Amino acid sequence: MVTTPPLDPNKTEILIGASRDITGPQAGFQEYGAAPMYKMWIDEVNAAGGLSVGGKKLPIRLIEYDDASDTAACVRNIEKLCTQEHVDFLFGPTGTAMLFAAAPIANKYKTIMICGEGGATTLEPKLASMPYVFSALNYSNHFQIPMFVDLCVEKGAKTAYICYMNDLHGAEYNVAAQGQFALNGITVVEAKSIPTTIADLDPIVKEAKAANVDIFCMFAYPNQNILLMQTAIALDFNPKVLLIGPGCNFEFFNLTFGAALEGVVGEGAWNSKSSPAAAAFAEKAMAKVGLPNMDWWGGIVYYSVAEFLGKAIEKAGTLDSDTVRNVMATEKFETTLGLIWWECADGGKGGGLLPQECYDGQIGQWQSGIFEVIDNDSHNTAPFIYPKPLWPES
Amino acid sequence: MDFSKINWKQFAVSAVIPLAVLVFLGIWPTVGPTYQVTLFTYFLLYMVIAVSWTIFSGTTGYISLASAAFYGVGIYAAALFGEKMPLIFVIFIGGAASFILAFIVGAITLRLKGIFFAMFTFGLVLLMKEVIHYLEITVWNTRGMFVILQSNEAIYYYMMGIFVVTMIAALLIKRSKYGLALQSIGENEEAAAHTGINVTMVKILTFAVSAIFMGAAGVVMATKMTYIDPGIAFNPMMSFSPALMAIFGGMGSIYGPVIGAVLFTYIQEELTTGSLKSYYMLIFGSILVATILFLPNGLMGLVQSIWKRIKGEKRAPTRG
Repeated sequence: MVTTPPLDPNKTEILIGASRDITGPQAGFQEYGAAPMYKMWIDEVNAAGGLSVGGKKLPIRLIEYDDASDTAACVRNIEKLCTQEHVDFLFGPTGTAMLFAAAPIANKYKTIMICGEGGATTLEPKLASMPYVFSALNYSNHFQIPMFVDLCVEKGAKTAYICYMNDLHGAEYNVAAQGQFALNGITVVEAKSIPTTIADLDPIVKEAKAANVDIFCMFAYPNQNILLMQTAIALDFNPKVLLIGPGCNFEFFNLTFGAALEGVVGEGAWNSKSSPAAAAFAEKAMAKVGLPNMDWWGGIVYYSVAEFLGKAIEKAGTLDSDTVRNVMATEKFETTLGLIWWECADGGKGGGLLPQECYDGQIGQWQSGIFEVIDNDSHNTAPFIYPKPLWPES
Repeated sequence: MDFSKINWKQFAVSAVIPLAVLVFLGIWPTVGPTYQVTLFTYFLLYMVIAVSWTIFSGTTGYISLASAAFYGVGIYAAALFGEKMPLIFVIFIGGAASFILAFIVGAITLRLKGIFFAMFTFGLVLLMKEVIHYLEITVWNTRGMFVILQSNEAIYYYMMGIFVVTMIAALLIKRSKYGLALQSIGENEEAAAHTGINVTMVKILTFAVSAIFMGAAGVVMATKMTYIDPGIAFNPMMSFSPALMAIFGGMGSIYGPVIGAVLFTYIQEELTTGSLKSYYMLIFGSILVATILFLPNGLMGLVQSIWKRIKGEKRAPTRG
């Protein structure tokens, strides 16, 4: 019989560690990514006196180290958080590659890590051996690209051009998109990788325009995506489907491009129309981060998995990571996203992913200033506009 | 045996203290807290890299910024061969691959001097990064690789072993005629050539030998990172850090880079994760500028200077 280790009577707080890029190229995510959502949840928990653990109210203290967007520093930080600070839980770092680096370290020290901004296509096979890793965000083949390709096939699109950033995020989306397009009879005319430092997308946009493709996919980070939008508008490149992500899912993209964003597709999605709980959350989150920093892909997901963690800790009645982990792997909890749960690899023994039903949406499209959910399921908040409208007259 | 002929002070410095340090390092994982063991692994890593760097650059005066390239080669050796063979063999592969790369690069570049050599060696890091980038994205259709995880103790002891070998190699080179040749190249290359030294071959070989330890250290550290990609493997900081550590500690002696590596790593660690983390770059930059301005011979130079003053000498030699 398995016994639950009792709560250490000397425990006066719950420690959550995080290696974040407080400085560095990806530092912007501190304003609009997972970090503000997690902090909002921590503030709310602490305002209520903390989490009830084994009959005792424990507040949460977040210990953040700066990794300056450097993966080696992130690995070192995670190790220090686990072995020196003895944190009880971890929030993941920013970016797919960073998650890949951090996840095995968290798992090595048997510390539960909730992954935030980042996908995990290549990490998936490893999840079986990482029972303490729980990946929150939906990503390329989980389940965005298959649903996006279904939408395009339904409308009769035949050709596609892919431009992707030469990091893990871009590589994963490129592979997933090429595979799905090929499976569904859509010809990929070209797949071009770009460096993160690219300053001129003219040649790529001109080539895609000359090829007269139906679909243009840009799998890159916000800086490159802003450049793509500017270049596409300047060169009057107007494919029937323009998918941009990540970046398109942020409200600042809408505030930057306004009417020009009409019909542009992005990864995500959720919005205030997704549910009454989502509407209330949007209002609350907006008050916390401000309108420009609203994230219509991950915002509600990050907050909900934090809620899930809190409920799992309370249900476990201990901070013992094995006990909490087992609760997380087997229980379903009501959160802002609705009822959510983790599907764990290796028959429940491995790390977890949120199943498709838990998300409010997979693919979004800007329509009249709202990032509408358009993928083919019951969560839709608007039908898919195809073809994308022409660029507005400047 | 005539014990009166033994120079006990020299014996203590050259044998007793290193042996005591070695014993301490050997038992540390069994008594030290987990994180302190990890921290010492980083000390050992940077000591290896800084001493390796000093073997060539500290003596010849050629500033190499290629350390990250050799370290990165080791990291990728771990990713490519780590699942197929025992770690010790992979360490040899990483060291050998770095040696070969350094030999080729040295043969091409070591006729260049001053800033041109420094620029070229730094270019090598960027070139390696882009080549692996290209291979991963366009040939393998992915980014990054996983490396088989090793225990903290295994990583520590492997790194300690590499450190010991690096120190022995550095001391043997320094105290040999070969080391004297390097020293004379550093003092005046043309004069060294006129004395019959095969200057180019001595430089190339030393450059290549110093790369072995960087590659070997890369293999071991990769097993700590578990996931690696070109950005992690060929991080330019691994080129600048050994140079800064050696300057900080003092390049005139082999122990200078060791002290520099330990202090540099510790200060960096405290500043990045301690209460002063917001001022990390400011404080760290100030320390480095102050060192370069006021301690051109590093901490070892300062210690030597103080020691000589205590002994009543006016000036302190900075090399030796």
